[in-house]
Amino acid sequence: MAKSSTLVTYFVGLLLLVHSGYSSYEFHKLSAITHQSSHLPIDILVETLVGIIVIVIGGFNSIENSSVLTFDGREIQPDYKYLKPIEMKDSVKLIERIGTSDYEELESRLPFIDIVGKRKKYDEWVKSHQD
Amino acid sequence: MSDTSIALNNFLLLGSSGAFANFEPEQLLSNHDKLEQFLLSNGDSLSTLELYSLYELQFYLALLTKHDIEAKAMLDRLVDQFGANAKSQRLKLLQSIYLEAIGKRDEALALVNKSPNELKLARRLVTFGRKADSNDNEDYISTLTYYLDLQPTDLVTWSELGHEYSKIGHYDKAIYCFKEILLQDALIYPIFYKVGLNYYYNFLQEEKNLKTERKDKLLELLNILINSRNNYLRAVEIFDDYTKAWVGIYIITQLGSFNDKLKKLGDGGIKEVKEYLEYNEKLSKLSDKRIQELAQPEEYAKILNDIKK
Repeated sequence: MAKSSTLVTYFVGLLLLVHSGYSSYEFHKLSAITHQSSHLPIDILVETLVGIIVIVIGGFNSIENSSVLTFDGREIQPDYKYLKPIEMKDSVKLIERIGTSDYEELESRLPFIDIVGKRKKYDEWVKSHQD
Repeated sequence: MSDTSIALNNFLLLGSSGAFANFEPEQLLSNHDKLEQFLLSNGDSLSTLELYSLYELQFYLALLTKHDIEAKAMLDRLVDQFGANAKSQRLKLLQSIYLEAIGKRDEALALVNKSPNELKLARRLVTFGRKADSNDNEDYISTLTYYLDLQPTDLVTWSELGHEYSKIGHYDKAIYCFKEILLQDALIYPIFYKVGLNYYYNFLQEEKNLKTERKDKLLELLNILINSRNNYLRAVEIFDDYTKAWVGIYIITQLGSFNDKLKKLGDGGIKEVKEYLEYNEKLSKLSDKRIQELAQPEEYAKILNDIKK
């Protein structure tokens, strides 16, 4: 899910770019009618540049690392605000802190789950809490 | 990122990792209730992929917490979406698990037995070798080994077989199974930890049966310990914050009575033993320091408890 601030930034940036494009189109049309040749006005150039910068800021904003929840409900902030490290020993830290790993499949072995045994264990836990 | 996205990512990770399969009942119930609430509040705003992934997770959580009607409702939604007659192994697997859970074992078996050539269903078929209410897992191990003869690259099955051997104290065979996984992917640090742990259990088993203090026997035990230590060290070499492996190393360095026996051997001039003891002292300090840095007391206690199991 994209952050709302990112969407707003993209929207504003695009709006500025579209507006500057349309202004440029109008300016060239007007120049053609009046047969006057002149440079594009500075305000249109500035608007274009500002539009590009705003979109780039939105782009950076969209790759910001978000905080995550542990399986027991604690919120964890990532170590880095932007982009992850590529060294394995660093890149697996966050997922380990959540309480799992990239190789959890080998630990959980879900396809082999003893569903009857687990439900029995759950029953025993419920009974022990009722007593 | 909003709280909704954080919670969504958390549930998706939980579902894709399958970590809930090893959750305690309390955690299962808590996650079931949270997901139920999440789906009620946010179900409409999720993409199709997210929604059905969460339905699958809720199916498992509901089944494990004995909310059978809810589990059936989730299963029906998945079947409605993806088709009851489709050749989906994943759907058949869910249906089989549901039938097994509600006591219709024969129907569950028939469902997976229809397509023995499909990998996921064949794996599930293997679990029917497991005996309910019994610690005897001989038949189950036989079916697992039979399956591995046909599918030797199936890492999850090697892991399952390793755990089953470990349960009955066949640590040497468990180590073999875990090493098979490492042969296929040499960076799986949790498996290096498992190998180290099983060597440690093997050491404890052999030490218990030790009747004499003969030099060759002690050196044999020392070799098992060195194997255990080296595998733990490989785990922390790949991921240096892996607390479990640091705890494993620390435990090995604190074997008081065995280390005393080794000291006597070392004083007798055996170089290998001397080197081991010197290295042991360094590792003891280092592992203690790393545990203090990484683990909270309750986490440390939990790891110790897991190792003692």
